[in-house]
Amino acid sequence: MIARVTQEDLVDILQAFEASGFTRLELTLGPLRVAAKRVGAADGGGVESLASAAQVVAPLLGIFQAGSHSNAPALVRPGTRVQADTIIGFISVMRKLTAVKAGRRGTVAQVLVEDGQFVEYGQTLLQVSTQSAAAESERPESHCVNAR
Amino acid sequence: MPDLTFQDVLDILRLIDSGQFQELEIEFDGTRVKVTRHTGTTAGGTGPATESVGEVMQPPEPATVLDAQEQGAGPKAGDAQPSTSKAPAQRPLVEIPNRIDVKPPMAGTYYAAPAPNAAPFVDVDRRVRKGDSLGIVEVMKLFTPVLAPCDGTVRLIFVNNEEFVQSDQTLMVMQADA
Amino acid sequence: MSFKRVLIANRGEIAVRIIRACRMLGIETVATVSDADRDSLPARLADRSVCIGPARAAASYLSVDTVVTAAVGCGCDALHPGYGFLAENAALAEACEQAGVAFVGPRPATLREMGNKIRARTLAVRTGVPVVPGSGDVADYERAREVVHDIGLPILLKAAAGGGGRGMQVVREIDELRGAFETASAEARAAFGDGTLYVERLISNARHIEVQILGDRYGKVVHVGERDCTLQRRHQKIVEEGPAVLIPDRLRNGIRQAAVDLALSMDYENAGTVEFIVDQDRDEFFFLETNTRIQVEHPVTEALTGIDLVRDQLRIAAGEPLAFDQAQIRLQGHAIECRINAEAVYDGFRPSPGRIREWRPPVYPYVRLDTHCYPGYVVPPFYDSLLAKLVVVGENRAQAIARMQRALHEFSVDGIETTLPFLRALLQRPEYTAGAVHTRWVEAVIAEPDFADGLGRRDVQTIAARQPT
Repeated sequence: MIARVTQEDLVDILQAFEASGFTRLELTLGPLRVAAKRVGAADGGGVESLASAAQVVAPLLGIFQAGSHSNAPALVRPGTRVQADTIIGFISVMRKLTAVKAGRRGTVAQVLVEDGQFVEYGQTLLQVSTQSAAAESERPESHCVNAR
Repeated sequence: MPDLTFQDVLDILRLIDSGQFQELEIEFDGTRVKVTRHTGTTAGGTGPATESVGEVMQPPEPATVLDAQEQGAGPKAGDAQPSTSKAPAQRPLVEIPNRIDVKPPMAGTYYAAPAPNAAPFVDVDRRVRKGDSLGIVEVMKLFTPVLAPCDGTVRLIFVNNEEFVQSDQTLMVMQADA
Repeated sequence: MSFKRVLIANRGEIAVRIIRACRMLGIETVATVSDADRDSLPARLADRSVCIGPARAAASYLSVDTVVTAAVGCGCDALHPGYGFLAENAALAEACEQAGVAFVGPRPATLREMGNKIRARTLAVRTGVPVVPGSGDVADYERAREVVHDIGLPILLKAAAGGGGRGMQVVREIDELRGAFETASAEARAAFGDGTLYVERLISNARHIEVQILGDRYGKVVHVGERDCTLQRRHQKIVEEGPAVLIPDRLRNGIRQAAVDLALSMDYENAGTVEFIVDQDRDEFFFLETNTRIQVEHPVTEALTGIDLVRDQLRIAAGEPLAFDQAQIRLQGHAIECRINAEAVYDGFRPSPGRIREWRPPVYPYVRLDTHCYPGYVVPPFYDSLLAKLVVVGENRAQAIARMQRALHEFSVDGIETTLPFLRALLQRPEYTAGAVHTRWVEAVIAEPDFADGLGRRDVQTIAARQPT
């Protein structure tokens, strides 16, 4: 049996990591797994793809509408830069429209649904690449929108 | 290994917040907490995101976590730099005397109000008497009230309406009358 | 004609039941699932599953717009609502009609009419079906006293606006009436903002008897026998059986005829159940309400008659006439159903969601099990606690009881608490086997001081012992 890891142990481990010259930590102790990356760690490696592409999912079941009204051009396409509160399309349920926001800043990498397509709750609508956006120094936003 | 509790996770998140981490992932017995910080901006950008896998439900949003700065938290929490990069609803570090943690009678969905459009049972700094309803927990259509364990004042609320809560989770902190 | 693809707007065992009925008719199925039910048995059995929303039922299984949109989006030509959730929701039936999707159930007007308890009672009176003796609104204590004088004691004071036992008072002696009236009125005012009360005769020695009916679009109505659902706890049925051999034939025939009369008076289409209360002291029956849906306990009727009620629901909704006459329906033997719930009986029936580690149901030629559970299934905490319906059939009541007792003893579930120990204990009681029970009997049993002894704690210890330390 591995000795039990307490909260204090974990704190010690993280502090040691922070004080060290290492940039990345991955640790498995019994049922506990810890992975950490420090600020300033080079972005050239393999692991940081972890958070590079975020998915924007349908917040409810309905018909996806890509434009601001039917037959209108799509609000976003691959390459479009979005902010957290950018509306990327609508979900129509019995003629009631619900706006879908990007939920994060980034660049639209891929659009996975078509205008007029029936989508389920939780279905991925598009992928937003967040890494490039983080590198750009855009104006800070005054508020924070959580994706969920 | 039940040593790592929800409270510990809060403390750890607080530590990360004060440290120089950009990304941290902790997985423990089916619960995975992943925190990412985007650098380069000070006020916001993408907030930290948490997610969980397995049966264990999601811990509160980080904004709630940051609300929860209490005395007696992690060893370094007292030294934590007041975070400038996070949610606005931050409370000053306060010591709560006669502190009583309120936990739910059972795991389930927490409701802060008696009806969907009604006012919540309690707000922060509300005086309550022992036995007053502080919330409702529903599991399998059985509704059980969360009752005030003592006379006192609600000081901190960690739980959101309609959030799924575990039976050992601290929903709120009360300051008992002396 | 027949449907091509049916949307199942429900979950759990009834979703499985509907999928199977569709399969036997060669109809494709689309299961609607919440986020919490993505890996459920209905999702696996259906030809397709579609996620309609988060775990919270209000945003998924209870959302009319969402299920109708799902039906249209998945190309379904019919929607089966099951029971509970939106099953008796007239707005859903109407929205289906407008979307060109057949609603497998009664017409919207019927749903609306029967959903209002006062209108349903009025219709019963107009049809000549007896209702529980009582009054309309009673304005004050003096009027209540007059009513009591007419119908006798004991009585029940009920809130006109309410339900759920609030504003309800039992009065057994006349000098209790004034206090009870004031209390009930105050409670009703506090709970519903309306202190209006009405009086109903209290039937203390009551049986709950209900009649299964089927009606087609062409005005034909048949009854498919009755079920005795006297074993209840807090108005939730626990054990159901049929036919109702414990009441006199005269009453039984009268109840069946009353149910058919009522259904005919409203041109009832599809499956429904007319509920009655039987006063065992006076040998009288009274109309309670009509349930405009397939019921949980429908397998009792199926076991007695061989009629597949869900299949007939689908046929009727597709516009087919009933394929049989009243004279062709024969009830054979005796059937009993036990509802197995995820509840810790010894701990006040505490809900017990979680992972099922072991699931070993009994297998006999005379046993039927309707369930969505399997070993490893995680019972979610968001919905009701029904795990399974165990149904047995025997040549007569005694044989059916003996078979059910055996089946219950063999049924083994580990990982979560279930009501199995409770059902085993109940069905062994001499009062049950002799049929000397009433609708409050189960609660009286639970109130016995030594009731919880040996009901499940043993099972808990067994589970604990099996886990590695």
